[in-house]
Amino acid sequence: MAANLNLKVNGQEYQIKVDPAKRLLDVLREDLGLTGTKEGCGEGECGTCSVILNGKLVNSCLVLALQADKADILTVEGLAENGKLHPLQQAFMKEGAVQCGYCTPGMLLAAKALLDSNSSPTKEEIKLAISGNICRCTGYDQIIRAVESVVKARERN
Amino acid sequence: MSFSYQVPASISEAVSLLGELGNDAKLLAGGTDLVIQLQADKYNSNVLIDISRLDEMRKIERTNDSLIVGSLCTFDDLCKSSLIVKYAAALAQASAAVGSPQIRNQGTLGGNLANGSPAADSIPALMALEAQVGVASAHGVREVKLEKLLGGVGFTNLTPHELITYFRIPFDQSKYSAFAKLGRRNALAIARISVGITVAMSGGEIVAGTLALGAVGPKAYRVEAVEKMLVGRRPARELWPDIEEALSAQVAEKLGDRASAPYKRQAVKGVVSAAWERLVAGMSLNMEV
Amino acid sequence: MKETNDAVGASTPRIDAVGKLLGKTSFPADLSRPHMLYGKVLRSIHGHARIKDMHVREAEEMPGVRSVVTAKDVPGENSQGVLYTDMHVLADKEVRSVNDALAVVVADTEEIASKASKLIKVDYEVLPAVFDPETAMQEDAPHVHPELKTNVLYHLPIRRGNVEEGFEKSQVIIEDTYRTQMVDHAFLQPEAALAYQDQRGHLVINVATQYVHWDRVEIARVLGWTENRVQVVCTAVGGAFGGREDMSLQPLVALAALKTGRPVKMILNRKESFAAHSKRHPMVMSYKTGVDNKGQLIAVKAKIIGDTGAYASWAPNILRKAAIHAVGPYKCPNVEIDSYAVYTNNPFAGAMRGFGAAQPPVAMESQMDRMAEKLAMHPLTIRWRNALEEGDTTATGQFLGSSVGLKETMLQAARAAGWTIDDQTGEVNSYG
Repeated sequence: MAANLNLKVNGQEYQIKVDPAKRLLDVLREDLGLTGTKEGCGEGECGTCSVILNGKLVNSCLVLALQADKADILTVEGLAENGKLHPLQQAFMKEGAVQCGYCTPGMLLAAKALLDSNSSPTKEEIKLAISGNICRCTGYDQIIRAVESVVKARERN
Repeated sequence: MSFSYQVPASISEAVSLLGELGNDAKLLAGGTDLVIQLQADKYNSNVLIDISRLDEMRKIERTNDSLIVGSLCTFDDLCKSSLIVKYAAALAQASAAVGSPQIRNQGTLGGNLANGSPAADSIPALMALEAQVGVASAHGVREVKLEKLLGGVGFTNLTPHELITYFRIPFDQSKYSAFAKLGRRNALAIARISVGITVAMSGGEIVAGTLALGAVGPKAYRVEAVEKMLVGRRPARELWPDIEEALSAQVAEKLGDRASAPYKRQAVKGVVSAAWERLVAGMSLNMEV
Repeated sequence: MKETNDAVGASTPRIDAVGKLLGKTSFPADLSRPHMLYGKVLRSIHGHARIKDMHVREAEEMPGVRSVVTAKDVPGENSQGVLYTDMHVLADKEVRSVNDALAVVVADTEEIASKASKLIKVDYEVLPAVFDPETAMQEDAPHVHPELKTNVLYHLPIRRGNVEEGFEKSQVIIEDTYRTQMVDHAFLQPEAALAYQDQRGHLVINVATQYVHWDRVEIARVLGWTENRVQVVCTAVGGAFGGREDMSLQPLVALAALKTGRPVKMILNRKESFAAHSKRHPMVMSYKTGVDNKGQLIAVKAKIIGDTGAYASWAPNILRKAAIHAVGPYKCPNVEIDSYAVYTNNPFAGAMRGFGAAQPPVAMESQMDRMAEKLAMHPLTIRWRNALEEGDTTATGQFLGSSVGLKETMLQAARAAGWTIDDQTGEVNSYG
């Protein structure tokens, strides 16, 4: 019983047919080929599948695709613009916040969602914002430093 | 796993669908529990009714004696609502303690009740705040005391034709509330113990109190013996030792020889103390104003 | 990038960071090939059981199912393991733990493969199992691998001086048993693999692994092929921490691709991942330690039992390392250590961060604290007085000729804690 699904992902419109049981994560990875969004646990514990859905950070493994009908979605693939890394991506690179890389897409989006709603978060607010994202390489310090460095650069400008 | 997906445009459409389908249908709100059940093949209904777009159920309003909180309010909505923070602090604090930012953006207050988890964070807060629940069906809307709807682990006393549409939380200016929870870590932790507490004040003295415990036994409950002990006391920064002991004894009795009992009968003192400190902090904050 | 002499001491960006930041880096689950099929593993539900019969026909006949791969389809040796090949790739007569794979269902979609795997009926005869390593060491315990006639896989005795004399001279003796639990690596990226045959007919396996060249040896052995016909390509690895040193999906996905003649991808969910890879060894550590009235260690006697579960993996190496670290970074003239690796029917244990060096400190450092307490001594003082220095010899006879930074490290840690240490006496003052 496939149903119509309209999505806007990273600024691009898609119209596809999906099975109602499909999750947003599956549609992104399998139907749209956007494999930057990862699956780690499938039950909202690890945050690797995080995307920004209508401005809110969500676990795409807990959203049915049809629930996101007509939604505007940002995935990791949409962060860089015109071949230029997003300031968060640059900061992650500079601070050594990328290790195995599996948490990286979700971490970036969690940080993006924070900065979208709070232009100068404190360290505690940064920690809270990434509290739904696990990094098993335990590179949290570098990740927090990366987000702080973006905040500082913004404050300077 | 194969089902049809319905997106009703209004509450009345949703309840008429539920009226027709009953057990054959399941409601989808935030999805943070239901989508996991779908993946685990634990789903056996033929129709999924997606109510997540019914914005009429996502409002927070104030009447002269109550807050009306739509059942589709997410935990993020609730912990950021100035009305909730001001008049139902326990609910704001409970909402902030749910899961992670992602879960708070998705999970809803109605879903938290409907899912029937003994560890649902919002329930002890709502119970202490003496919330009534608005339940709609094809026959109209009824208002029920929250306690009456709690069934047990994984179920409620709602009929398959009913939809939770709102929560009515009575308030008055003399009432203060707080919530605290003990989990294995700060984020994404299932409550091991949670507590909602309120006191009503007059002339510097407690004239009435409520205290509800969650994650102790199959459903949250009010501890009336302890509530009575609060009356007539003048609040201090720290919770009174005799109340801690009474709570500990109550938890010991409730849990019997369950494996968690020795731990929880000690831990409950700390959890309720933490809630109490928050309550008192909120009280003094208000007095300065 | 311009070549300079400034590289030493400078932070250079990781070469793989950009791809990972853009979401372009491929982990195995991100890969696809035309005409690709999906495989799903069926594993044992028992710790120990005889497989009386296995009915796969219903699964095979389900629309969309291309094949059900079982032990019968293994052309080479049906065995795997980094040190001993004591684990079946696909079990057919007996299962020894919940790790044991019984079949791989290969189908057009993951959902079909998953559904079909549930249609396989396994007729088990549950056998006596042993889940506790101390019980497993007893005479009458059921043997996990009956042909070995014992569950003790490995024993390393270390002797130095005379512990009994040491205890006689001791002022304080503490004796206790410590247990650590099984731990999962929980690397963020659950196992996944993609296998296909290339134009040469060689088998290419894309997998996130810690041990590419050994994977090839193992896969070739299972296929009965020469190694040159097997190519293992390591994709990006989403964390490993020791948990990707053993075979998980590699031989299974290879067999599935070979049998169907199509590319096959397998992706584990988190629950399946827990069943597919090793764990940190739970250890039972019985310690008796003695010090003189100045806190000088005189004797350490330790018995360490590591539960390796049903399969050896790296257990001998890990229990050897545990034995070497049993006394901690301390001098001690009289040492008696016995370290054992023991088979049980638990999920198998293997490499994990520290490789056997992480568990003994739980016991030894607790002993140090308790002896210090009895002597009314600061816990740092007792450690300072026993800390290994240049020129010392360890309990295993290793002469430390250079680069022993322990005391310097302790000084730094003390400073951070707001303490000062008298480097002659080890006495500690707090100013923080």
